[in-house]
Amino acid sequence: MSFNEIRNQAIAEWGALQQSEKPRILVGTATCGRAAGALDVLETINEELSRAGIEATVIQVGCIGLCYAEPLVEIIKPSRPCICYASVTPEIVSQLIEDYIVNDNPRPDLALGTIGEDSIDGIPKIFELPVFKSQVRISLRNCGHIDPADIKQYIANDGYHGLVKALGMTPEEVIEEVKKSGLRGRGGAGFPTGQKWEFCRRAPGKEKYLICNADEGDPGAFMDRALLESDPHAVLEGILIGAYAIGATQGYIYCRAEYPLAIERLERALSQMSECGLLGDNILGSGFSLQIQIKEGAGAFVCGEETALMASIEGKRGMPRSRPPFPAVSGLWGKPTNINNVETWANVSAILQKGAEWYASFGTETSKGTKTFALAGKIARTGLIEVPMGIPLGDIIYEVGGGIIGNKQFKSVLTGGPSGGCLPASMVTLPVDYENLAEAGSIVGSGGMLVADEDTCMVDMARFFLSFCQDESCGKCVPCRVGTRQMLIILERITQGKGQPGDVERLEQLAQLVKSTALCALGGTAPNPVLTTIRYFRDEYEAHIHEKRCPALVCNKLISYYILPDKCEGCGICLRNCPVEAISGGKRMVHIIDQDKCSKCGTCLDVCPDKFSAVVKVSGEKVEVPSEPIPVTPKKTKATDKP
Amino acid sequence: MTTLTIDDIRVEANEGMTVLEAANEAGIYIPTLCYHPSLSPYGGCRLCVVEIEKMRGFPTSCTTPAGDGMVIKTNTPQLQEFRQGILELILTEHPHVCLICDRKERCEPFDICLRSVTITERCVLCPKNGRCELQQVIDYIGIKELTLPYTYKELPIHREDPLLERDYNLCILCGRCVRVCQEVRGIGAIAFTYRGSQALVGTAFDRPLQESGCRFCGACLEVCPTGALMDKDDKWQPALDREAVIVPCQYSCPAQINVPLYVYLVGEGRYKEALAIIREKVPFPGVLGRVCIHPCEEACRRGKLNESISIKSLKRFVADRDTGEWKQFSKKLSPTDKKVAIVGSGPAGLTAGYYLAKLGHSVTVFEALSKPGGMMRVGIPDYRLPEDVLNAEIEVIKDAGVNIKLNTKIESIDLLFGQGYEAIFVALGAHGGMRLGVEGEDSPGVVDGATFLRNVSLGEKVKPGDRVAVIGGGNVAIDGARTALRLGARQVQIIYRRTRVEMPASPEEVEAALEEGIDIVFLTAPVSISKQKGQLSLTCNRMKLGEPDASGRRRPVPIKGSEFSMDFDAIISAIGQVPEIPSEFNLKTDRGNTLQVDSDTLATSRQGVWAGGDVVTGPASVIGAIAAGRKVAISIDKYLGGEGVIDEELTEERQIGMYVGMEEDFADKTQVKMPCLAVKQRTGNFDEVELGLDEQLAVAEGKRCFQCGIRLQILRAPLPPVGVRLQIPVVPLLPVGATT
Repeated sequence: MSFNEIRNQAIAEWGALQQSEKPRILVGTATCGRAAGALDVLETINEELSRAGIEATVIQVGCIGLCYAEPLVEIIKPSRPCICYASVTPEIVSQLIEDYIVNDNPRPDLALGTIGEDSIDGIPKIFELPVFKSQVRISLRNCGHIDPADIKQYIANDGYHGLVKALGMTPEEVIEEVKKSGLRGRGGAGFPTGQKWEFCRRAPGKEKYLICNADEGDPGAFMDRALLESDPHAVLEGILIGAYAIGATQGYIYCRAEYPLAIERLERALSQMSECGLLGDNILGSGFSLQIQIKEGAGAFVCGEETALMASIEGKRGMPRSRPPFPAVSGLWGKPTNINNVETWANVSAILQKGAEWYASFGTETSKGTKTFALAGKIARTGLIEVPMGIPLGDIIYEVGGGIIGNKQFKSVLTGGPSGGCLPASMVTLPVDYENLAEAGSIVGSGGMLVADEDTCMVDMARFFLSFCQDESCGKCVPCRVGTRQMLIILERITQGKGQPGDVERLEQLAQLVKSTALCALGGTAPNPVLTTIRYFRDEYEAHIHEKRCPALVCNKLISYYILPDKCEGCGICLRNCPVEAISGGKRMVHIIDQDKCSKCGTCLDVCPDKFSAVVKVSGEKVEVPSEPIPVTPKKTKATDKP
Repeated sequence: MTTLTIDDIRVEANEGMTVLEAANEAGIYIPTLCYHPSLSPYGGCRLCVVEIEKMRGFPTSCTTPAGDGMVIKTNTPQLQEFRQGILELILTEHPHVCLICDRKERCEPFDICLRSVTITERCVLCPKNGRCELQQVIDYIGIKELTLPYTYKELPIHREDPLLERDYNLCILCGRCVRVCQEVRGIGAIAFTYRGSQALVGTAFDRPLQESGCRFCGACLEVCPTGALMDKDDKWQPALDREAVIVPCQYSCPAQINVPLYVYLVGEGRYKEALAIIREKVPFPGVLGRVCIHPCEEACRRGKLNESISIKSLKRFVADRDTGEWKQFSKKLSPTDKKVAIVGSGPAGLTAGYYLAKLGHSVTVFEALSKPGGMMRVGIPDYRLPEDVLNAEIEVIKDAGVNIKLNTKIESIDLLFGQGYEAIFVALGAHGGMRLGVEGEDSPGVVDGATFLRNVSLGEKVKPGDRVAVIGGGNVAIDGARTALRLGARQVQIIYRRTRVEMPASPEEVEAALEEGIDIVFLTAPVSISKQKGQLSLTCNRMKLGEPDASGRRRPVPIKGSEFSMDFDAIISAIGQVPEIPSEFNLKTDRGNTLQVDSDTLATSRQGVWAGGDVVTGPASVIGAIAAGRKVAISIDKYLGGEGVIDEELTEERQIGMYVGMEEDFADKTQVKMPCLAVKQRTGNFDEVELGLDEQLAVAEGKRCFQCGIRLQILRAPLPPVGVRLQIPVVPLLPVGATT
């Protein structure tokens, strides 16, 4: 069957599905959905449908990005808009089948929104919600809408149309198109993709390799996983286009083994591609050939660094090497190699499908297109988003992300993962693009965004991320292996109240040394969280060092719990719950915490009844309490009535 | 050719050179600890950072290819600051207090430290103190003080390996050992383990080296810049001679044969080349391949792991396959018209004659007996050294121009001088049997071992009778006993006054004698011999071992009242030999009637006369005699106006292949077993007992070698100029808090 025939068939099947008289139920069963219980929901749906004898089409789709609302279920009844239900449980889904599918009550109380032209009273249109309003979905275009395990659904939605177009052009024209789009590497460094391809295309050598970097290692980042699980063909089509453009005949997808579902989807996608003549020798009769192999990484953060990744594919320990020579000249097995990140490849297929000009219409002058971000931390709507480059930071936090949970104050956001920078709340107007983030001391990185609220200690946060980078250092170069360790030692002593005058300056010196002399980007960027927190939150460091005070009340060694004598009613709840028996007291006696015994677990604060609120957490200050339990002061008669 | 400017100096670099290599070539030293000229670029220590115009940041010169027109600064205040910072970081994990101590010039090893510095922080207690690359680099760059906290890693020291010690507390993770093992040797027994600050070098799962595929070649020891990897034989103090530690086989060989190279060549199937390597040092490979006492095998480093390489068997293997190809490289200088006389045609005499003839001198060897070869001919029976092997090698010597006069006993040196010989080499050997010193030892039927073996070798009809006693425990005693057996004796007893442990004979010879049914009576010494009715009666004492004597062996002491007698048809006394020197030689002698010589030149008390071999040392070894012959050849050539150069290269093969690859069970491989004639087939004839290795065995044995010799092929890392300390810049680091 020719590709055109496959395509026509796919479009016909897709059309038939849309026009189907049977209700359709879409369940998001990517890893994020599964973690929230999507598989239980799916099972219940199947049970309920067969119990009620309803004929319906149940489709497992990927992730639409609303992590905070998982599991998500979409129900489409004939000639009705699709309704998306959030936080669905087996109980809720039973109700939905009963109420909506059987009795036609769309249950606006449970619905998040509708997708499609028509609307239903009482249910907002999902793309008009703040969470979606500023989003532009290019690389995530199909996520949550199609069945990732069915190549035909991808083909029916313009899939592989970009490849067909590319194969009709010369490789140089394809590179020109990508250059025109202004696409820059989405793995973090933001190197212009077309230019990178051109280097590799022009490098001498017959044998060339192409790599898709799916070794997403940043804590709190899950863009690549979601994309591979929800729309693998968007990535694979990009890889085919890239291989054609640079002249590669062998491709590798380096995916971490901790992403089993992504690997499963990729394997299935590859075999379907072979069946459709989209992989192997003479792809679509064009004379262009490509083999793709999946390499599973063992979960070392440093293997996301391109030279370490290639060493790992070669079977060596994942350790970076110095550049030059660059991979475009001497990469995998010493051959010219082009390496791009998952998201970059997904953008490539979109660019070829819809054109460079269309793509370049999004974003800023120097940072074109869109970028996906994984919102995590103390933000109300955690999830995967895709926004145009240049969007103000505040729009992401407040509009898309819905602000901070629990009405707390927004304090800082860490962009770019553990080697990114912590930007303060004052920078909400900062346009999010490569240049502006770099100027602010951070990086775009692969797209992790970790939001911190007022209860976060920035020194502790810097310590946490540095300890991550320190653990994940490959150990090859001295500045990264030892320099980050020494920085960590200083940060640890600061958070433990043993900071010394001059520590901040010492940290800055070490950070400068490590940044300037480390071998790879892991070491070179590891000091970023430290440097940015010093830059924007220097007063917190100084409070820790000079006043032995943690302003955010986080650093364990610097905080104390006290029971206020005028508020304690002597109920004994804290005494009974204290795990280290640090509290003494008695019935109707003011309780006292033995500061030497206290492990600062905070249980007393948690259990003290709200009506008393007698326990306080303080740092750097001392609360006057009696040395022995004394009888509780009667509250109505004040202290003046004391005998 | 690429031209670049380094520190304002125009430097030319070859294709493929790095900036660091180009700088080194031009005599510009850039500090480094991980770079090594025999290894691939690494860029781990970051000390070699430089500033290159139009390049971002601070690239490492060891990894950056030299590019045309590059303008490079290697020594700016900024770079110095970085280097000090990096060294300081290294020192937070490496013992170093002595390095930055102001008393360091005055402190001796093992001095009590007045500063109460713990052992784990002191350099003076490091096995590599004084020859450590890290020390030298620190001295060059200069570190004032350490402001960062130091941590001793507290890792266990690996002392379990037989040849080396690994103390990873001293490791700076330069990765040289890993690279040499993985890339250069292709073994990969060690690699980096763990990561972050736990990163370390080690074997897989921390298994012992024996189970890691390690080949114990020592390449890692050769490249380690600190005391982390040390030869057990080379700790604390450098050996006076590196080769004694690295290639003890070659070092222990009296003739200095390049054992590592020829054993390697056998393993590679290049037998002609292997033989050529042996021939470069000795003219008797076939003889040595059979009878050498092989000090090389005793010294072989593999012997400390399990069993030494059977070097002797490999020598015989290649000698037996001589194609003569080496001869085309063999030099023969034009005649000098100088006459040299050599007295004695044993290994010493013939070796000296061979080299002197090749240097163009006219050499005449005088031999008292009817056949040439000395003890090789008349001291070693044919079943150990067949005549045709010896004949063939003597033939080569004759072909080189050596004239051998048989049946010519020299009684006077003056006579030789009178005949126009300008230099004389006395190489008489030690053919006189030592007397037992017991009553009746002159009875008919009692003979000394040397005479007995000589008579047999020279073809005399010797019939020892049915029952033969051999007195003594050396190789002559064993040879005598085994010869008697072959001459038809039914019962042969060796009588030895000590135990098997003290026997000077080679263990394999003793083993062969026992196999052939020879009985050894230990702790028994002769008291007297009497002849009655055609029978010899040997009266003996039982002995016990007392205090050690001068030789270190325990002295046998007679047990009172333990006398007993045994009857024999013949008694062979083989308790040692002495040289028999004609009195008219007028040479100064020493203990045991040996000749006195200068130990370096082997010159005797008379000008123009040299001596060597058994006549100087007493009964010893063929290889020792050959070595003496070589020394004398050098001395005589110099005496005759030559340069004394006898070494030559007989093959173009000079290198051991570096890449060897991983072999899982390498450490467990045991020594090859020499195939031998069945015991039943040995009596009544003098057929050679040892059959020699077949090709498969020989190659396997060659491949079993550690290839310690490759260490000598590894280049040396560049070191800082001696006694130079860089100016410490006083430019403070830029404050970075406000920069990007």
